[in-house]
Amino acid sequence: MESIIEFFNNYPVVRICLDAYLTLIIVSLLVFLSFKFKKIFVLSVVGIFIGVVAWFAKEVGLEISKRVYPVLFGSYIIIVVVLTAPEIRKLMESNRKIDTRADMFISSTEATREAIVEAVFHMSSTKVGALITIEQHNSLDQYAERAIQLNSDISKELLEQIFIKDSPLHDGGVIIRGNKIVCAGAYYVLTQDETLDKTVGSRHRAGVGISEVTDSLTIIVSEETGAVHVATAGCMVAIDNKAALLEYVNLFLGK
Amino acid sequence: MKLLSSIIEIITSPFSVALRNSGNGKNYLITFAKVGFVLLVSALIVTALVLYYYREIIFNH
Repeated sequence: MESIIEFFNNYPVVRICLDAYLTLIIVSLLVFLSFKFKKIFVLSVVGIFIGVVAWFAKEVGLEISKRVYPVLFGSYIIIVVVLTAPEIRKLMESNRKIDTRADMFISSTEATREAIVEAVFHMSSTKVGALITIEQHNSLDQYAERAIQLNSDISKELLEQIFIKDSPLHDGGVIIRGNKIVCAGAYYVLTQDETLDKTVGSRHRAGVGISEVTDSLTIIVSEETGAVHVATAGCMVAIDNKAALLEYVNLFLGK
Repeated sequence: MKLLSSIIEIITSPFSVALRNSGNGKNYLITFAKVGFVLLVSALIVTALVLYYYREIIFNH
């Protein structure tokens, strides 16, 4: 350690460059987060204000302020971390979305897609709630692992049977990979999107939530109204007929 | 050349969070413009900090 200190004393330019580089890592992360999230930007401005006041109080010799503000500044960092935890989690999840993206995905056949569409609109007509997620490039294994494994071929009847109200599998979502139902009863993190209507239920929020953190397509059937929605990339759109849903699925999975 | 690219990768890896989250990967110009802007603002802040904290070393030489 002493040799390092001696080296830095002999070569102050190296010391300054290393210090500047290490500071740049933290500062660039803070600047990036400030630009990306409005809440972090506001908290950063408040933090800078506290820091400037603490420095000014120390330089000028304001006896009370120079003791109070540095303490406040120290605890402020912990407050910021607690307050911005959802934003940081979102950032980490979007990183994961990029990291776990595979080049290939297992596509499904036309018959499978038609079976999904038929099942969805039959459940819609009988007002049976459903949550069906179709995997694309991002693996959904972490959700499937905690659900009930099925690994069965897709059929209209099986999908309807899963979501029947008294079925032990009807809570949670079904994950589809290619022509297989991987699992049923999968639980997703609900979206925190404040632009969604307050009346939007937890099934729809789960559908939007999974579409935010992966590149999957989720079909949601409302239990109350029978309305069909499709969620992808954090957006949810209403679908009112079979042809539109089939077109959407084909467009998403590539015909 | 391989060593040089490895060194550059190690040096720039702390900024990968900003790089990966600044675009959809389709438009590199927008991605790098965003990262460039973030790094420019950060560099200005760091330069100001360096000039202040190392003022005695910098201005005495």
